[in-house]
Amino acid sequence: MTNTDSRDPFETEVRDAFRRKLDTLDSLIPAQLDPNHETGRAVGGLDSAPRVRSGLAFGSGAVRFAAVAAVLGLVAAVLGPTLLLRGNVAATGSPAASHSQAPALSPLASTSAASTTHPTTLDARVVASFGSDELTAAVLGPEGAAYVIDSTTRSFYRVDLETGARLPIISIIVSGGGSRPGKPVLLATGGGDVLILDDENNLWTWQEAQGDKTGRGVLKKVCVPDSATWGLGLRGIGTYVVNDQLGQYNLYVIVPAARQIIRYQPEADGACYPAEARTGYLRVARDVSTVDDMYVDGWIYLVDGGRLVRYDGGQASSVWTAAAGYAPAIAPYFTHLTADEPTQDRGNLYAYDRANHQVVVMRKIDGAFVAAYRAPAALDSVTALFVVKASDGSETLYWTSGGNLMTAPLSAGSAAAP
Amino acid sequence: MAMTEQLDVGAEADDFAIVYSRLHRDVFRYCLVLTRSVEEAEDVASETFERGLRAWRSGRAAAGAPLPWLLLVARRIVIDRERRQRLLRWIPLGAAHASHASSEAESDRIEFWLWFDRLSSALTSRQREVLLLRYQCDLTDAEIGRILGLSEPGVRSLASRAVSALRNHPELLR
Repeated sequence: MTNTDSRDPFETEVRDAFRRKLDTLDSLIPAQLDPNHETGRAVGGLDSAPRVRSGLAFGSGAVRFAAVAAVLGLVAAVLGPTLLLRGNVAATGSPAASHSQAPALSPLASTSAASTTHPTTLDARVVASFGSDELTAAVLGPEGAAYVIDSTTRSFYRVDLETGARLPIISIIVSGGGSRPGKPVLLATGGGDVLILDDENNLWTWQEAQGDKTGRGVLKKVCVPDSATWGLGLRGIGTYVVNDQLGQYNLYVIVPAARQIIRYQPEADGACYPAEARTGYLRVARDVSTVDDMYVDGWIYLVDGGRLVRYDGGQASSVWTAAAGYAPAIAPYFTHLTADEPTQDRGNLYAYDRANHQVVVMRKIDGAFVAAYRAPAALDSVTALFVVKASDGSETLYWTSGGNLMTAPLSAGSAAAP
Repeated sequence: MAMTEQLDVGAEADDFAIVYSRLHRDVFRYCLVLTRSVEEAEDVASETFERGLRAWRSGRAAAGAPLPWLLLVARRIVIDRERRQRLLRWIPLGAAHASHASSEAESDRIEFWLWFDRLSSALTSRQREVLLLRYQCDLTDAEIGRILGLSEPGVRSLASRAVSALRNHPELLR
């Protein structure tokens, strides 16, 4: 008797569900692996085969199989079995060669994995303390100061990272029709702006006065005519610079009510984000209410339900998954994300693992583990984080926890980008 | 569909072509679930059949049904590759390879991986494997045990616990 003869109705249900789900994978079977595929390429050795494995381009007949087997034998004998490892072979011209592939083997990745089981302990200190206040968001401003939201006092502060001096921003200067911002809830940076979203779905920019180091500047409402349609519970905002010289950027808003990440393109003069320029980034609308953080650098990285997912062209293409080399006590649950380089595929991502109270660093390009950091007590309840990279390559981590803006230098050797 | 009939160990490559034709889907699916990557699954499946062919021609193939043997080879290849890589990484969800397909198919694939992630939080990797081998590949407990290095009671225990765990997650069966 086989296991499919079960009389347990629930077991039958499980079997049917497995088969039904796995059937959806059939379209992933490559044509060259499908013996029923009639238009397969002729086998002509390495030149005609984009990768060594495509030597297994079986046709439907035994003759073709024998020819393929002979080629395989020759290739394996001459080049050795290691060439069968994907990634060490010449790039393929197929869509499968996209960045969403798993990484190739690399010496750096292999060596860096050695540090994974022993996270580095950070030497944390307080930059600025807000007493019993609750800091809920923080970003690094273009001029090098930090901006934080204090939800208990509905305030938005500028914090000098060198002196720790904090300056309330919201009430300094307000332009844009005389309206005043509501309770600030989300922050982002874009171009030379700091963006503040308030609880009435109004978007504001804060621009530091040129040459001013005391925190003077202008708070201005951004023209997004349809922002009222976003509804409640926005999960994040982000930007992607499209014109560096003009400081223009696309705007991304995670809107649970629309089950979308809504993308706005600026008008030519950058003055407004009209509804006509609004598109849904996700190809397939889905629940985004579980998204905790977003980072945009060409890809979109979402921290969604504890997972770190990379989106490519509106589709979830990759998920960063723990494997050998990182063995925290509890399965990672990521809640916040930042990066040390704004350029796509350059530098590292820094993700806060709430379950283990650690900050995990991985390379953007392939997700290879770089380092993990812990700081007893100080990293227990992170609400935002960002990294400052100095010209000498040294990096400093900043994060908000409770009512404190904290900092710690990162060891240059362990966290440096390739 | 699984192939369970016996094939002579010393058969010619033509016979192995028949094996390939009948079993490639099961092997590829198994590789896909183990690696969560279409690319890696292609590589592993190819290497599996390549090794299989070598063993077949040299008379070193295991006696009995070829599917459990091929799956065992695939599993060992995956383990070897993971040991060599030893790094954390982006695991493709498979959706990026569907740009030429219909949006419905894309949606199906994304849904599959999202379902698989939820399944992964409900079941251990071994429990998932047992259910896959049991219900997708139609293997017996003895065959599953040979692949996973477990006794038959061990396989039954794993499967039973997996099914029990799924009783608490009816949403995974929809």
